[in-house]
Amino acid sequence: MKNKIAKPALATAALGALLLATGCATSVNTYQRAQSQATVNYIDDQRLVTDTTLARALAVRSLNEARPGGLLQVQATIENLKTSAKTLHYKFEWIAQNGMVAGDTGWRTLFLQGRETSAISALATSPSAVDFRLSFKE
Amino acid sequence: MFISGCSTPAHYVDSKGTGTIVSLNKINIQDFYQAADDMVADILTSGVLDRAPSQPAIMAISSFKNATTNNFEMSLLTKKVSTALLRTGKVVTLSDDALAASQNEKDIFMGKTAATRSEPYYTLSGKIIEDKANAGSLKQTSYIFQLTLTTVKDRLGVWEGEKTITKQGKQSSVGW
Repeated sequence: MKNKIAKPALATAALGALLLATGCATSVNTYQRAQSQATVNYIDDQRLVTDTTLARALAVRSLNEARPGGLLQVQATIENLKTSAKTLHYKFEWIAQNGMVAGDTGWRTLFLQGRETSAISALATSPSAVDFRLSFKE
Repeated sequence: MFISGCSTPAHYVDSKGTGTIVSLNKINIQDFYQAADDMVADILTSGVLDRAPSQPAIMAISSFKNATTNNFEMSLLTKKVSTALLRTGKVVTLSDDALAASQNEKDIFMGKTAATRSEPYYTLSGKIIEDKANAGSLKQTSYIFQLTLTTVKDRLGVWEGEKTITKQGKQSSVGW
């Protein structure tokens, strides 16, 4: 009698565990070439973190730049460190040689699945832009 | 007291910020900003403007079709695109200023200036389309912005861009 009750209970528990492990997961598996063929101009960055919760959920893996047509283009490779999907907002500000802000992208939305790595990029339309500032918020 | 206590007093918000209203039945101001910014970046990174024989290239704003159920001023998109392109120094736009046109004709008639007209090398045309779907009470609206850059001399489309903005929800909301 004891075994008859235990078997359905075990089966239910196993099914629940399986659903938790697979059905509810939104995590992303990522594959890429082992030896990158791209020539990337990486940027050394300086970080100011005021939201530690966000910093624990989001990693900026790299920053790189290009100069199409002489204009500054910046790309950030972002990774969601959590296994659940996340919506974030980001903004690029462009800074001229004299240190003045020379425009911005406005806030943009970024959707990341769990453990997904994605790239965001922006192009400065002002030829005077030499630097940038990238901000994130939840 | 109860009525006024819960109401939101009028205040300013950043036009490109996350505090703007998100509507399911219309193109919001931030949608125009995002569509324009993305397509300008696409034109510029394509390098097509750098291939014009004379720099800066002359560009005219051609026809733009509103194929949505919204009624809006198309310059909300075209002005943002032309302003951003002008700022790069890679193009100048052919102005439709009536006073400049009549003064130019007068100057030509009076012999003050040579009878030469600036002809556009590029024209920029476009279309905005909407796509709506719903699942029960959940609504989804997509606005598709399409732009084409054409060279006047041979009417060839040298660049085309498309940007889709999709919004989903049961009702419009403040902030995103």
